[in-house]
Amino acid sequence: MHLTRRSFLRTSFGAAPLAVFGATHLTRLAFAADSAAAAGRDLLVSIFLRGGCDGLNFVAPADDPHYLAARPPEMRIQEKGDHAGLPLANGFAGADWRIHKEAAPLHELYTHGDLAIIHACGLANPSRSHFDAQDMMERGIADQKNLGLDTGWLSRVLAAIPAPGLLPGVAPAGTLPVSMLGTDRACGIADLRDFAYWGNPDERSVLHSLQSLASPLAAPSNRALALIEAIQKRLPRDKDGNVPKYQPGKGVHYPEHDFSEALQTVARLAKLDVGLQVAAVDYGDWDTHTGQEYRFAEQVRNLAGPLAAFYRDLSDRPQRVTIVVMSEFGRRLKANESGGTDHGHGNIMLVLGKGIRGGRLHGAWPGLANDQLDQHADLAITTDYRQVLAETLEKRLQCSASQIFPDWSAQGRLGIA
Amino acid sequence: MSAPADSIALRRALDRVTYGASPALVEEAQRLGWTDWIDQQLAPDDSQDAELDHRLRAFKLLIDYEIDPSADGKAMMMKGGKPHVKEMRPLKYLDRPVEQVFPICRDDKMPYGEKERPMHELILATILRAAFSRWQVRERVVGFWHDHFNIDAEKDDTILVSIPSFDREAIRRHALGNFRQLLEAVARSTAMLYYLDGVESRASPANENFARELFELHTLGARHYFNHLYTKWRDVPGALDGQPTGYIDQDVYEAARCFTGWTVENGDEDDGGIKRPLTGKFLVHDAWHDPYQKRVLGTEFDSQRPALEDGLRVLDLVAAHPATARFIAEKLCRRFLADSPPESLIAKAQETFTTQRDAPDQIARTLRTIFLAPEFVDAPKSKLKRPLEYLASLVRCGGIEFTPTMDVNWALESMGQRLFRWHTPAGHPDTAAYWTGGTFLLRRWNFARTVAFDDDWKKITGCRYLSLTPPDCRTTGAVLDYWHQRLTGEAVPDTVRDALLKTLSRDGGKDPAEEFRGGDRERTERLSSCCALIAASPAFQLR
Repeated sequence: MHLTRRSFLRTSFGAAPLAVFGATHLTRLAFAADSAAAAGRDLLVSIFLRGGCDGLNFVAPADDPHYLAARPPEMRIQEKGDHAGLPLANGFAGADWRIHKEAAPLHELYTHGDLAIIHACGLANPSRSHFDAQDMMERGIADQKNLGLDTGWLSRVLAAIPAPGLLPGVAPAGTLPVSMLGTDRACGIADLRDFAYWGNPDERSVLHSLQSLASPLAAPSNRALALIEAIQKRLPRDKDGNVPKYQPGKGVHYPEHDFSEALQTVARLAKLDVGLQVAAVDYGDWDTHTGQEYRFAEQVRNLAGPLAAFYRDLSDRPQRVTIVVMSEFGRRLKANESGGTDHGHGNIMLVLGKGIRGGRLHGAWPGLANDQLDQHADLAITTDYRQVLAETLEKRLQCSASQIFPDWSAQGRLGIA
Repeated sequence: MSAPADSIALRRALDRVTYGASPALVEEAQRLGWTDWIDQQLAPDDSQDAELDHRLRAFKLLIDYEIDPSADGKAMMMKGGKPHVKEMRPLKYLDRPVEQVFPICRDDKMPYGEKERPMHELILATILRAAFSRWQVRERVVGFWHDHFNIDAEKDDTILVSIPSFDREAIRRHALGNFRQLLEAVARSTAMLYYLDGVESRASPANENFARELFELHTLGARHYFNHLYTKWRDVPGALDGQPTGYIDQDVYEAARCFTGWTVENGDEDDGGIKRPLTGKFLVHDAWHDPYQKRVLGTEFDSQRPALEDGLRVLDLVAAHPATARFIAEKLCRRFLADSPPESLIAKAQETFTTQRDAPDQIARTLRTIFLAPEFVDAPKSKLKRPLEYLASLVRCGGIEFTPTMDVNWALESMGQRLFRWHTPAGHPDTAAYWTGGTFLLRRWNFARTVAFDDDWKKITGCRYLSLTPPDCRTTGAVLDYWHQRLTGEAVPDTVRDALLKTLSRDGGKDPAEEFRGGDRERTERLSSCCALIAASPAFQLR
């Protein structure tokens, strides 16, 4: 189906009127999470690794001769020794597939069957620009001509599914990412403990009146004001009236890291029953042009530990959780001369959830010989990133992907969800 | 050429090009007239900025960190059982040449709390200048270039210590000057060489980080990145005439090769065991240069040319490219006027930028074109102030006493602005959506209260709303009118007048004729509450 931008926006938003936050929603809240679970709609958590995560240093055919030739040992996954990667069952045929050793918590989830890895996938557009590539993926497109599309893919998901709750979408940050551009069903919440207005009730009512003036501030201000009041009411208080630090589920330990903090904000909101259905979480600093050996290991460690903790933390809730992990592009097969890798193309994506067809590599492996590479330099893309998202949306959120991604139609089914 | 039609329009135009139109600044601009005032601002004379000079000289920065017990330190205090440095020190690093500062980043005995001092000094000086410099337009332009040529000083210790010289020698020296010269000063700067990894780029393969951002972020812009349209350089329209309309990855790869060998005297040992000096100065290391022929933007580069020449030729090509004029013009209009500036204004700015390409004051002339255009002076308020603009304009328009500490920097960060510490090379977004997507927005509302009410902040900001209120403002209506006009440059909108009046009234009344009464403390409290709310309103948040 080919859609113009105008008709696309009409179809995606025409049917569902935009949510208006307010008191009327409070009454429906209590049922929101349960009804979403009953309707088979998971909590979708979309994690964006910003900067271009080096998928070839994350999950790779450790014994591939082209791989061995292109990189010094410290920038690839090794077969043996102290830095050997962890072996992956059900890899693509003909190679010893391994995952970075710092990803041990993810390896465990893979072995358990909850984590699916899709390789050689990504944004088929040849852009090697971080900002363009992120922009396209967050808008759910693959073509510069659609960069004017004024909604993110998660905004369109929020418009397409019933979202009666107080806070259907959240980004645990000071603001919303592009993937949540143009929706009034989501809000950026950096820290639940300071998501408050410090004025007294009289001042708050004056603030309300001031934001009624026509301005670019009106809509976001009114959304925030309504949310603040409702969320503050639901947060637990200690005897001094302060909101205590989040206590994760029994036996769950989040490692200390900013990414971990962000995930805990999402977990806390999920447990507050505010009708959360979509969360967008950023994890930056993957742009390893230099110093990759140490930087990448640390990045992977701080992804894997917190992600596994988060997954366990929400594992016994009625509403199932599905987590997708993506990055704007992979990195060049051949290392540069300054201890790093430059912008590449194909990459991995991860999908994590109970009932996901995990424990295997999905997709088609294009190979790493020179004539198998994209532009003779980078891992080729055999799976469009939207194929992964589409299968996830359809099976886990009961949401038709044709409403979400313009100019795109399903390709060969991966069968991940 | 166009000037604001009346005093309200003049005030609006002043707020648009400064960190806030204080009463004194409004008076100065009224005296000179818009055009002359702009011309004076675009040719700043540093010897004529007495108040700022005084404040910078008198300023002391709190140095506060724990010491690793194994290292020796001076001025130790015991705090919580741990050795501690805690003292106030004057600004030291802002004017020092890089060679006097750079060595501390390689001094293993130097605590991190000392290594980050040059960056802290720059952050606080930047906040002071925003609030108090006479040359307000330049300060705003400097802020623009720091985002355009963004650097995260916390990426590496080498940048923490060299960021003041980047600010001084690259950005401030050329902020109103010639773009090609600005670009070269940036490309040769220690801080940028480290931030975008040029310092380590050698043949072969070259490190592409700087070259890519040079095209995409510093000059031609992503809209002229045609990699999705063409895979060969010769296919880009105009390339065969040496005038391609845009760039592709092949240009990035080739430009990266041109810059191999542009590095820093950082004390490292090169091949053959020769140690570089430890000065932090720009170094051309030809042994690292990729010497073979190259082609950038359809222009041939001969083989075996020196690294400096190859790199400078790339800068010539990108600085002169028409896409660069368009990109810079549009970004300037977006920053100073509106998120979606009118095409006609961008076109005028682009025209001046292009025709004045060789002028030593190319950027000032471009800004003059923008500031004197009717599209600029007649437009209504629509641009959201960035946090530093918001803070400084509250200080300037509210007559607030202000002695910044690093707490001010954390406050700016909590609202989304990370001075000299934005991670990615694109710099802060320049549209309202970024600042209003959630927590950042509500922290702005709280911030206006913090400066007036918070006990810790009373050491940083002294609000004098009551003592600055003219004695003839005796009623709540008169007080409200005065402060709304003073802070926002506009009369109180009818629809919110009653709500704001209630904050000044002793018993929540909305009669503007009610006497503004009560003791000093009580009136200060109510007036602070009212001003904090005005500051949170669109009339003050937008410019």
